[in-house]
Amino acid sequence: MGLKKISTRQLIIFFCIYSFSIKFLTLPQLLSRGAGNDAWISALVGTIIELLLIWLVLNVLVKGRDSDIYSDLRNKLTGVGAKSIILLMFLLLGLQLLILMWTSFTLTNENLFASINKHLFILPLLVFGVLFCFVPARAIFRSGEVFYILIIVALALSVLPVIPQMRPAEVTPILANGFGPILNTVYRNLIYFESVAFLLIFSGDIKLDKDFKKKFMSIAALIGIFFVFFVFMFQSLFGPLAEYKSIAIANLAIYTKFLTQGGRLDWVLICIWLLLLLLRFGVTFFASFACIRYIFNLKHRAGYIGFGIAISLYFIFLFVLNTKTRLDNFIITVAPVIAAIFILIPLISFLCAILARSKKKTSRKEVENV
Amino acid sequence: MKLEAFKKKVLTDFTEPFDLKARDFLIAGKIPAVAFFIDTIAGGGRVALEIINPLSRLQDAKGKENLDFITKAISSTCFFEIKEKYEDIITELLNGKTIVIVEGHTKKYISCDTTVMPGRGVAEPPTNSVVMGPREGFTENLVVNIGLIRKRLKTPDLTLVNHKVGQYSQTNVSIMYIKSIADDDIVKNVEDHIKSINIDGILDSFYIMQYLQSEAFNIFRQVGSSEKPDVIASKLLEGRVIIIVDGSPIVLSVPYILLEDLQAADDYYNNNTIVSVRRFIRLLGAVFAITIPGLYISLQLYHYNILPLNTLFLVTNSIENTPFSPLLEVLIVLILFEIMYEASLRMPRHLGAATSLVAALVLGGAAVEAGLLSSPAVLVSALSMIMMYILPNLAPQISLLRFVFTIIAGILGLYGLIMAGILLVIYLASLDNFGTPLLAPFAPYCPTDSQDAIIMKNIRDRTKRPTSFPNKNKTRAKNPGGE
Repeated sequence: MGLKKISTRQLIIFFCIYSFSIKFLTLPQLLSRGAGNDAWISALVGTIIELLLIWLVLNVLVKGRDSDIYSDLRNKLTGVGAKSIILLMFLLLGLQLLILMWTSFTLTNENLFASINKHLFILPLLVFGVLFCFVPARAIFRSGEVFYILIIVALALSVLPVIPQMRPAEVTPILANGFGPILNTVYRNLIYFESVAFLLIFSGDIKLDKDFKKKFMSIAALIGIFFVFFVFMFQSLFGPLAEYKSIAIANLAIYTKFLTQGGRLDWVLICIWLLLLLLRFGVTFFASFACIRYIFNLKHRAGYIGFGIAISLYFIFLFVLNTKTRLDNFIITVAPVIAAIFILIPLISFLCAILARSKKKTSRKEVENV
Repeated sequence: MKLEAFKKKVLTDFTEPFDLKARDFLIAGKIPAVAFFIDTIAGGGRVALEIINPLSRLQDAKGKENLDFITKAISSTCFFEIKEKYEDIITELLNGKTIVIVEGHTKKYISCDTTVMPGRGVAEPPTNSVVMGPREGFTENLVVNIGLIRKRLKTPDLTLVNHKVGQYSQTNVSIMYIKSIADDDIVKNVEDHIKSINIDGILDSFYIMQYLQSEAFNIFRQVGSSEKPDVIASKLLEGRVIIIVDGSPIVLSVPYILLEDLQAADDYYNNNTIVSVRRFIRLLGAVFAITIPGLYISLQLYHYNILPLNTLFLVTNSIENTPFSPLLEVLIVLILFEIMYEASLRMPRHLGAATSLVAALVLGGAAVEAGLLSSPAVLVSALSMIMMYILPNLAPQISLLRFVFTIIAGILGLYGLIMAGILLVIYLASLDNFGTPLLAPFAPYCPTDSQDAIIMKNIRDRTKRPTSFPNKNKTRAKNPGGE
């Protein structure tokens, strides 16, 4: 049993946790706000782009199975180039951390607590994130295998009872405003479709199965299809009100009568979703911590970096992007940068991996000839 | 060296030879000899009957001075060995053996087994009582314990390696495994661990347990233990290595996974469907034991809006006049329960039962009636206390975690409970020992081992040995489906 490495199964499970945790909470509202009835088409376009990038990232993982991403990049782009790419990745992950913080806060504040103090919420969350920096990556990924059953339960309880109540007429007419708003919405919300860059950080630590790519792509495609269906369902249930429903999955709970008629048992679902969000927060925090370690070339664990990231996030959350609206506006403002990073990181990594692979092959041939 | 001088030397090597006896006698009525033994651990009667008597009655014959001739005389009455090192005499004597020295052979010693170690007989172990299945338990006697295992595994592959550990205690520590199943690396690893122990004395297997753990600071144990020979035999059959310590009725086993504590000894002597349900209930019980007080506090303090209205009224009425905050109230009850538990453990058995009853029924009721504590707080704490003992081996860990979870829930509500839950799982997932993850077969997932996890398959379908830890032979039964 390969104890030190992350298994393909663990990786796929964590990818599912990563995808479900935020997409199914925040994104339906944002897509609905931008594309109206055609939110599900935006979801479809976003999913296709996401699948392409997933394919690139999986290739990087397969080709660089023996070395970490930093070494691969450094070999092709020199130290500065590699560090720049890792820095971009850190920025992307940092922004995702902020989104996760705000989503967790909204979910908790609107559904669990009557009201919660921002400081009381954020400080434990950051301590939680810092603690992830002190555990081995394999432990984080193993934990996914314990929690994945909860995703299935939560999804089944959230979605299945709602399906009969869908009103597809709410989604018509299709493409009333053309493709423009759809593409614009996807472009503005690209960050929410990003769910694989973090995997690059674990490149070299993964024990890949023979049909790893096929398995992973199938699961990613299934999740994508399910997400498109989910947005369609969300839109068809709430119609024009969908853009005001900030936490999609929590709002669906009002349709699951068997959960709400004997008291508010929907909190179980909220808790499961909060758990997924926190897991994603933890692993994203770990990945951003790993980025900084690569940038400063630190061989030891350097837990203080975690504290540094936490303090920075604390100040940004409280003083810079201190409302959800500000964060949303910021994401829209920096959308071109996000789009560039979103596409550049997997693409450059992919190219570097290809080049490294071909160089390895050439040198092997040379050795054989000699 | 003359026999008399030798005798003096042995007696003076013991600081205070209060129980060391030196019995002089004549072999065949002519050759002087002395028998040394420690009266408290070697049977004086056995020495007289099995050694002195046959040697004294030996016929005067040619070659009677020869050591081989002498040992032949006792070969039918006792087990003996010839030792040549003086240091061995002391060790053998301390192990209950009798040393016979014959005039003219003071460089060779006959060590005869006359051990009569004081101890109790085989009885049902108090920590692993079962409804169905064998009731034998290990004792403090190493030989008896080995015999109890040997009785169940009649194979020449059963291997035993002995070590002496402890500078002063010289405790016998035996490593046992089935050679054709156990992984060689694990065996070597265990041996290396035991050889590296440098301590003054080993008084119980728990001493060894701590040396076998990969993490020095760890609230969860990483070594399995049992008092039941049938359980240990089944572990050997799975390819585990066991460690038996002389003087301890607890036998250790490695590699250990957390799931072992979810499996009760009598699970294997019951219907597998019933057992699967019971295991699920045990797991649920353990989770609830840790989380229920915290859940109660967080619902009462922060999430009252998600309680059904009737329940909310009920709880509000009960806590109306209590002087403490919910967190403090539950903590007080939990601490009181722990104190009662400690007291009932250490009291004489007949008093302990009565005291715990009085404490639980009278004190709890009186506290609620006096308005000092609310009845839901007492109820929740009592429930958690009962559920804690659903997994007796994990009770100390559950108890500690319960306090941590309660305090976190008191500060952060469900939000804190979820975070604590995640961190606990990650912590458990980070623990590996002897190449085995503690959370296997769940994390990492091992499909083969799942046949005996929460859902236990019928024995006919459990054809493979566990894969969560290395072993040489993966096949357990060759007749899938019992055909």
